[in-house]
Amino acid sequence: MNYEAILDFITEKSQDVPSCVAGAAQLTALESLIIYRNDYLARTHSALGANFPILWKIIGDDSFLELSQIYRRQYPSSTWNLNHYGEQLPALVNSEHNLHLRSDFPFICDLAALEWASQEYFNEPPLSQPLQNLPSQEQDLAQLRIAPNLRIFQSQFNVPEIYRAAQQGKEVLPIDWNRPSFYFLSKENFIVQLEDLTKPQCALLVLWKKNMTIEQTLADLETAPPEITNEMLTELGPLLVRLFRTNLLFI
Amino acid sequence: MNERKDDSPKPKGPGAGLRSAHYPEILRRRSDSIQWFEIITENFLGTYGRPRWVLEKVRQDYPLAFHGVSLSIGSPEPIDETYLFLVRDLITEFDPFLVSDHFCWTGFRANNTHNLLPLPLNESSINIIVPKIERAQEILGREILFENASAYMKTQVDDIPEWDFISEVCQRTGCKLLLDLNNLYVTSVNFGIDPHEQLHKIPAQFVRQIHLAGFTDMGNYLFDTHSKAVHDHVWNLYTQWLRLYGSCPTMIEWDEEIPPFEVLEGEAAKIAHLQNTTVQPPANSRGASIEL
Repeated sequence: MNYEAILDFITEKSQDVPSCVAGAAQLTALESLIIYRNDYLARTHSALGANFPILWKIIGDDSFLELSQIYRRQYPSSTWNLNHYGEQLPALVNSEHNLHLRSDFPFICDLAALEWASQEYFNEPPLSQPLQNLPSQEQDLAQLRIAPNLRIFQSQFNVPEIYRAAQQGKEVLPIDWNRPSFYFLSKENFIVQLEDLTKPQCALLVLWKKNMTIEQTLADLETAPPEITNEMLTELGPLLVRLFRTNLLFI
Repeated sequence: MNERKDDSPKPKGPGAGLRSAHYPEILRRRSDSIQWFEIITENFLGTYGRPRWVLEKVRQDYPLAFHGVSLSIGSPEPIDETYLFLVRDLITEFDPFLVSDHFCWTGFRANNTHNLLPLPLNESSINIIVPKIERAQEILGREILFENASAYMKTQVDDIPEWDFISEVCQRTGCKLLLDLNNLYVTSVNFGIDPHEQLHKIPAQFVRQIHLAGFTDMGNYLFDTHSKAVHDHVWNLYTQWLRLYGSCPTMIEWDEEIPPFEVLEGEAAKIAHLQNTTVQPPANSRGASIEL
């Protein structure tokens, strides 16, 4: 049997009805295959929508359907896990195909990247030993590390406000989206949230994540321009508290 | 293959598919009519979000069955062992009393159609499937049940009747049959054959679980949507099955247009009622096994 020919028809690579297929009592082979193809289209579209609900909401049904069709043809589903379907969508949104979408909503590349990161973060296992689980007397001696799965973002647009507004069912058009933003993802009670950062906090986190330990990060700061160092250090205390609260510090 | 050793009590009453729309109600109270839940295995593989946490809570109160949709046992390529090792880890963690997938193929050469495509019913297909099932059961360390899928097409190379094909595979591999009576009805109507006659052709000695669900009448075919209550025709098939072969774990699947949990419980109560009121053959003369 020609499995590949059936697969190609269902995934829209071919319009030729494979000769190995027979229809049903009241269905031709073509009609039968279209049932399976439509199911494939519906499942992949639905999966993409589940992974990018805010992007869908902002660009609307018609544009999202068009995006979904282009995506499916460029990136046919290759995994049993539909949670992984859509990994290349942020890149597709950023491509030439979607200039018209980006002219209406210039922030959607960053928004799509955020939604994908959020989806990955939601599915990740918890850290094996977050600092919060340590007895308090041992916390003093612990060498603080930042969670390797910490996602830090910066955008020239006010993505966090857009994201939160859409999540709450509010209109995004009144938002002044031309404002830079810095933020990271946290998870509390299995819900992924955005945490705003200042610019120095963001720089500090990026450096800390790269170095892994806070000692090395602070050592690096000594060689940085003094004004940046001082600004960063004043941000360090509040940042540590927030990372501790959101379980993103570990030993 | 190592047989699963487990002395924990097996559910004899009705079960239902565990769906996220019902999580709040299931966590709030113990159901009177639903005694166990079946999960879609893939929904809990590689995710550690809230669904996994809910599953841990549900497992504290109910036995679980695992039902996969991705083994693609009929595709002509080696089995996906990475997937199976993930399933094995989930089995170790949650100890399901049944593990199942489908007699179908879902993709080929790194493409996945997310469809349960009908197998070519011939010896060549059996020779593809048998070693794959043997390997899958070896990795999981237990027998796997395979479900008869709904069909809207068949292949020109079919030359073995469906139930003979399934019987042959079960005999050669030791796998068992998850009998979906809704699928049996849908496929029978779609191909113009009598579903009640089909009941007599099923290799009942291999049946370990039954699925019931609703379909949608599309005019020129029936579509297996799982979006409605079980149809009267399917309830009739179930009653006839009980008369012929007796009870085995039976559950309701409802995946689209999901109703309030109470409606699902009502469907489960119908299963219990039929199991309790239908005259069934003596246990020692049954084709289908009640004990697992």
